[in-house]
Amino acid sequence: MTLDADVIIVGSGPAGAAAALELSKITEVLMLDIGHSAPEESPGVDRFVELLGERLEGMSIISEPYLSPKLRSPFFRYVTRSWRELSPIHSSDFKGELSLALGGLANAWGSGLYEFDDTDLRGFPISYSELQPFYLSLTKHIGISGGGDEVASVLGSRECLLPPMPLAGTLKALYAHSQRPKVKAFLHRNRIHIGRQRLGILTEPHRGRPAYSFDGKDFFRPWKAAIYNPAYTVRELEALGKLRFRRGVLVKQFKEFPDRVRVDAVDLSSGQPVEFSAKRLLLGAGAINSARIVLQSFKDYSTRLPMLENPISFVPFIHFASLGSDSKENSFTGAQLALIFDGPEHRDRVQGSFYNLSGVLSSDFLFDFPFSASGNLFCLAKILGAMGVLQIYYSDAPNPASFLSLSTEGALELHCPARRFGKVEGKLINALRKMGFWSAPFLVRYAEGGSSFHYAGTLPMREANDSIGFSTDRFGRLNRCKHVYVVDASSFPLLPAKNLSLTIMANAMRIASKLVL
Amino acid sequence: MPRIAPGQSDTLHLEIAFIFREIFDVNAQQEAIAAYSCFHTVYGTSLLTRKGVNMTKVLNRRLDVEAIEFFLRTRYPGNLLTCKLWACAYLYEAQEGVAPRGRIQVRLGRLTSPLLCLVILTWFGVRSAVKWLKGGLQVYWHHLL
Repeated sequence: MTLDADVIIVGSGPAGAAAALELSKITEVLMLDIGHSAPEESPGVDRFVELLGERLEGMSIISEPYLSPKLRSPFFRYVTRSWRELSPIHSSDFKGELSLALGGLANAWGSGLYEFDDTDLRGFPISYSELQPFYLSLTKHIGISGGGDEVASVLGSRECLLPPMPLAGTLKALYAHSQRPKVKAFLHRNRIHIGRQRLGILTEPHRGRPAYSFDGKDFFRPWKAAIYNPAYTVRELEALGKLRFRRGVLVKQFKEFPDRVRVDAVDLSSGQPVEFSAKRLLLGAGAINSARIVLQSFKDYSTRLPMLENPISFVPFIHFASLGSDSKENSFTGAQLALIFDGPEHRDRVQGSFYNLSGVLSSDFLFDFPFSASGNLFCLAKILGAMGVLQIYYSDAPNPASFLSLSTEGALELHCPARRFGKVEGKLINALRKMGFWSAPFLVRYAEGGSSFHYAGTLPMREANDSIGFSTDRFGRLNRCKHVYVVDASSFPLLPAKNLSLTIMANAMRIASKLVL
Repeated sequence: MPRIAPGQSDTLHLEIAFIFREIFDVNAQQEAIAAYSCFHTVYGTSLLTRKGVNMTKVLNRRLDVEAIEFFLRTRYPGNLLTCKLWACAYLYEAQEGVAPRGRIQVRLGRLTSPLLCLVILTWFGVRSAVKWLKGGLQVYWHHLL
C-alpha cells in the first residue's frame, strides 16, 4: 500500500497550520481542506462593491439576523462560505459560524493571542511549562505585539514581543485614566487589571511581512499582511516544499488499519469520493467539525459530546469629555486594551477586551440611538467617537445543556444555549464610572449561543485514556485509535476566559513534536 | 447587480431621491439609485413581511418622512420605512465615503466642544419629541398604514 504522506492534517486553521509548522522539521505533510480563499486584490475596486457588496451583503442586518461586521463585509464572505451546506448543523440556539476557508475563522479574528497560564490550565492534564517553548516559537514566527504592563503577566511571557499597537481615541483616554495612582488602587482593590493587548498585528516589519498601516479598511480588505492569518504559515510551508495543500476536499471519515489510516473524502469539484492514506492522521478541523469526522468514522449516532464556548457580553460606554471627537481617528479595529477581573463575583477569572467603534460603517449604529433620524445622524458624527465597547469573556466547563451529536442524516444536532451573568458587568460598570466613563446595566447585551466563535471541548484531553465515549490522551491521541490525533481545541477539557487561538497553536505544536512516525 | 421592473424602479428612484434630500440634504447619485433598487430585489421577500407604509402618499404629499419614520419606529420596530431609511444611510455612506450626515449636522460639522454636544443632544431630544407627535398625526391623518 502506497502512502500519500507520513502525516495527513485535516484543516488549515490555527491548529492545522501550527502542527504543520512543527512537523515540517521532520517530514512532509499533506494538508486536506476545502480552503476557500479571499478574492484577488484588485486596485480599482468600486467603493459600493467594497463597502456593501455586489448583492449588498454589507446591509444584511437591515432584514436578516445579525452577523458580525467583518463576516458581513463583502470581501470577507469567503470566510463562512458554504459551511451550512457542507457541514450542516441543526440547532435552535446555535447562532455561530463555521469556516471552511484556508486559515479558518482566523481570517476574521480579533487577533488577540494570549498564553494560558497554569491557572487557565487547571483541569488540563498538561502544564504551562509544556506549552511554553511553543508559545515562544510562535511569538517569533507570527510576530506578536504587546506591552509590558500589569496584565502582561496574565497574558503571557514578554519575551520577543514587538512594541504594542498605538492607542487612539476614547481608549487612549481610558488607559491614561486607568494608570492614575488613585484609580489604579481602586481597580486593584476590586481585582481589576487593565493593560495593553497582545495581538497578532505587526508594529514592525517581520519575516517579510510589513508593519501595520492605518487605512480604516481592516473590516473591508482581507489582504492586510500585517494582521497574522494561519494561511500565511500554510502558504509559506507550501512554498518551501514542506507541505502539500490539497484544496477543495471535504473530509468525511477515517478508517484505521494496523499500519496506516485511510481518510475518506469528497472532491468538491468532481463530486467524486477520494481516499488518502498516511501513517498518522491529525484532526485540526475545529472543535465542531473534528467531532463530526470522529462520530461519522465510528457511525455513532447516540453519543453526546460536550460542547464548550466562551459566553460573552458587551458593555457599551461613553466618555463625555470626548464628545465631538472624530470617530474615524486613526486606530486599528482590533481590541486595543485587555482587562482581567478575578474578583469573587464569578467563579473563574474573567477577561475583557476594549474596542472602539471605528472601522465599521457608521450606519451600522444608526438606530442604536433614541432620537429621530437627524438626531441619530448627529450621534453618529459626534457621539460615536466618544464611545467604546467592553467585550467580556467568561470561562466554560462541560454542562448537560451544551452538547452535540450526529444525526443519521449526517447533520450535527447542536445545543448551545446563551448564558447570562450580570454581577461582573455591574462591577465593571462601576469601575468605568470611576474612571470617568459612563455606562449602565440596561445597556449591557448578552451574545447568543455560539457567537463567541470560541468552540472547544468536544473530544476532551484526559490524563488516563479510556475507552468510554470519545476523548484523547495528553498527547492528543484519540481513544480507540492508534494513528489518529486531535490537535485543535476539541481536546481542551475546559475553556478559560481567554482568546484560545495561540494555545490551540502551541498545543498542536506540542502534540506534533511528540508524534512518533 | 440584479435588475428590477421598470415601473417599480421609477417609484424607488423617487423614494431615494426624496429621502436623500429630506434627510441628508444631498442628491442621490446614479450608483446609489441602482443599489437602492437592488436592495429591494435582494431583500424584497423579507421587506414584504414588515409593517408597511404608503410611500406614494408620503412622496406625493411631501410629508415629513423623518417624523413618520420616528413615530413608526417606536410603534412598529423594523417597519418598512425604517428599513428604507436605514438602506439609504448605507448608500449615502458608500456614495460619499463618510458617515451619513443629516441636514442639520452639516452646519455643525466643526463642532468639537463636549458641552455644546450635550446641549445639542438635549435639543435633539426635544425636537425628536415634537417629531414623534407630528409623525403620529401624519400617519393617522393621511391613513398611511
